[in-house]
Amino acid sequence: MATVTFHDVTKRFGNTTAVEEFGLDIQDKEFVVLVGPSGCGKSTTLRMLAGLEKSTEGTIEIDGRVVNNVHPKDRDIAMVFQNYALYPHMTVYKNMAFGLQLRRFPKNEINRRVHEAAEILEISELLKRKPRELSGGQRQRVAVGRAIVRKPSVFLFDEPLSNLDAKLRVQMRGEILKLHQRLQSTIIYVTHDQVEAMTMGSKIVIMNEGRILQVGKPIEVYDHPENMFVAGFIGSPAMNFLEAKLISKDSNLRVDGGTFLLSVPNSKEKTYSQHTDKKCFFGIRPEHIYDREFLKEYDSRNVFTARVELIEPVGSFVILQIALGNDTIVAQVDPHTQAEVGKEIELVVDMEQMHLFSTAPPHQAI
Amino acid sequence: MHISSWKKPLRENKPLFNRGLSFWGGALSGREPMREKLEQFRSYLFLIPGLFFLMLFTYLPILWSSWLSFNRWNLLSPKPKFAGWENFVELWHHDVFWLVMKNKFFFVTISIFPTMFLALVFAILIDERLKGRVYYIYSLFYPTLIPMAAAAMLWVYIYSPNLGILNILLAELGITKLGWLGSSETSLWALIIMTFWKNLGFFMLIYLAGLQNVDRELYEAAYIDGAGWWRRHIKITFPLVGPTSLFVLVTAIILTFRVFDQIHLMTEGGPGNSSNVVVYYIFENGFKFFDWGRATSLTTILVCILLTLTLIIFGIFGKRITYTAD
Ligand SMILES: Nc1ncnc2c1ncn2[C@@H]1O[C@H](COP(=O)(O)OP(=O)(O)OP(=O)(O)O)[C@@H](O)[C@H]1O
Ligand SMILES: [Mg+2]
Repeated sequence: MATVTFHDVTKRFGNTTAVEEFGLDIQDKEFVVLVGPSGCGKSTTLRMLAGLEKSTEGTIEIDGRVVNNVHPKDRDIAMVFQNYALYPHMTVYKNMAFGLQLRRFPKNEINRRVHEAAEILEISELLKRKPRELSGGQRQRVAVGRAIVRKPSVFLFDEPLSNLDAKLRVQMRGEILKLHQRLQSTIIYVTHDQVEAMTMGSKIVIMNEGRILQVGKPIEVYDHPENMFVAGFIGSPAMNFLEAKLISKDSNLRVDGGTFLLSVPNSKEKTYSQHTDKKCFFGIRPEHIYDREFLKEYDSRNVFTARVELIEPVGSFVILQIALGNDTIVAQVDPHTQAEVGKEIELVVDMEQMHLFSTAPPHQAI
Repeated sequence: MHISSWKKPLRENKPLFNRGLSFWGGALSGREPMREKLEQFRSYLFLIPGLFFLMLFTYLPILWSSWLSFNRWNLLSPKPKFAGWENFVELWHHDVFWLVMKNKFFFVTISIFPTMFLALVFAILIDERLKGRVYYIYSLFYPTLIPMAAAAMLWVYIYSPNLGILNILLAELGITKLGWLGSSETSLWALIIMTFWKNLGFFMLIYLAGLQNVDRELYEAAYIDGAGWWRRHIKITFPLVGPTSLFVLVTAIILTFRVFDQIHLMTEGGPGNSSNVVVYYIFENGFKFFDWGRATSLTTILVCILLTLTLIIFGIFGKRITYTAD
């Protein structure tokens, strides 16, 4: 049972500002993912919450209690570290029991909790082993186990899966989610992997250069990125951005990029019409550009022709790199496309999914 | 014809099944084992210069002095003459020998564990500091750097009964002055303290290097787990610097057993053998009493003690220690 609140938290290391005016409300039982590029201050934020760093300004509350000056052990949190931080000289059992022993739990209670956690994580057979006798995935489980025996109200994960191979990562992702459902506690999870963020978070917080850029449900952030950074960071392959101008032609609002001319759908005309004749960045995701061959119906105004530069078959779809004037854009099309490198192809843009961003930093969505 | 058609596929397969096939290929062609032997031979070749000097200046003298320790060889019989266990039996019945042994074991047991413990604690304290590290390291390491002769002179002044800073301090505190080097009750202690001061920085530096192998995240994990400073280090640092401690322990035992310079310079084993220890006693027998037979038998005893201690220590701890790297 715990809510977490950051009030304008700032952290400076000498002259570098790692985190700036970080404000966030986290509800009880929420699975919040902090995501952003390397060095954006995710770990620092988490470490301030854990009590491993002191914030320079602002307050942090856990369950309504200001914890700025509360010792980590009294914050009712548990942390899973990127490199697991398992005590190498202790067995798995002792690793998990250590925190409980320090808190003077009775022996049988410790025993019960460790076995319970081991069962949940399917590591009961490993309890007598030392960390170096475990595989990466098993160490990961022990690290999680060490956190759950404490039954804290908030779990903190700092890039816990980044040392695992791709397959194991997908598997552990699912297991951590299951664990969350089972434990019903608040989880704050740090990653620089946007796929991890999208698949795991009930709420994701996108950070860059120490600041929060957007907070929302994964799908909200995907559908309505508030600025170009978020739009480019969330989604893979990344969104295409092209310089363009909004013009009015034949009583219809158009996006004019010089090499292409696309029409704004009726549903969006109202919002965008006030920006007519303004320069902007036009954004469209690769998955919203289609190979015309495979569409039965399409808006003929939104077809354009361009030369294919590179073809990357992925299996369930094909990624095309397409030359458009001086720009290269990426399209994710049907796997059976007949596209050939060096040849022209007709593509259709789903303009219902278009985005426009201002040309002035921080490139807010229009 | 058969042989040549056999060889070919084997040769081609070699990179794939390196071990097994090169063995067979070698047996057939008769060339591979030779090459391997040559390789081995060459690696031994590189050891020869080092081994030669070790032989000449370490192993041979040890063997030679072990042999001499079974000889009567002193001013009265200037040619070594085989005498069996005579030297050892004489030592056995000699009070000074037992005193010297007792002094030495006292010296070692009293000084080693405090030295190791404090060296580790200082290393931890320095390791946790971000600012002024170098300054602290140097100030602790400085005594190790200065020559023993200079250090001994310095401490002779410090221990000086009337002018020495220690007694002046004691007087200030209203405690009776001590005789230090001049009293048979304190002379050994004075040497122990001085040796402790001299060696601490050296072991601290070794521990400081050992601490770099301990992952910072472990401390943070323990901190969140609720372990205080002492608990954190007792439960995590101490076990994890095990390999370093083993090295420090063995080095410290050997270093302390070998203590000689400061005794020669500060007390000459006195007063009344109260600060006499094995190595100095060897020196006395050899170069003051000119009883080389007895000096070599003492040396043999010392070598045996050190060897036994080292073997015991490695036997007990060698396998139990957790090495952090996996
Ligand atoms: N102890 C420190 N001293 C000085 N600067 C620090 C310290 N810790 C972090 N920083 C700086 O603060 C900024 C944020 O670091 P942080 O570790 O929070 O990034 P991150 O988002 O976790 O990155 P990554 O994905 O690489 O782990 C970085 O510019 C980093 O250099
Ligand atoms: Mg980080």
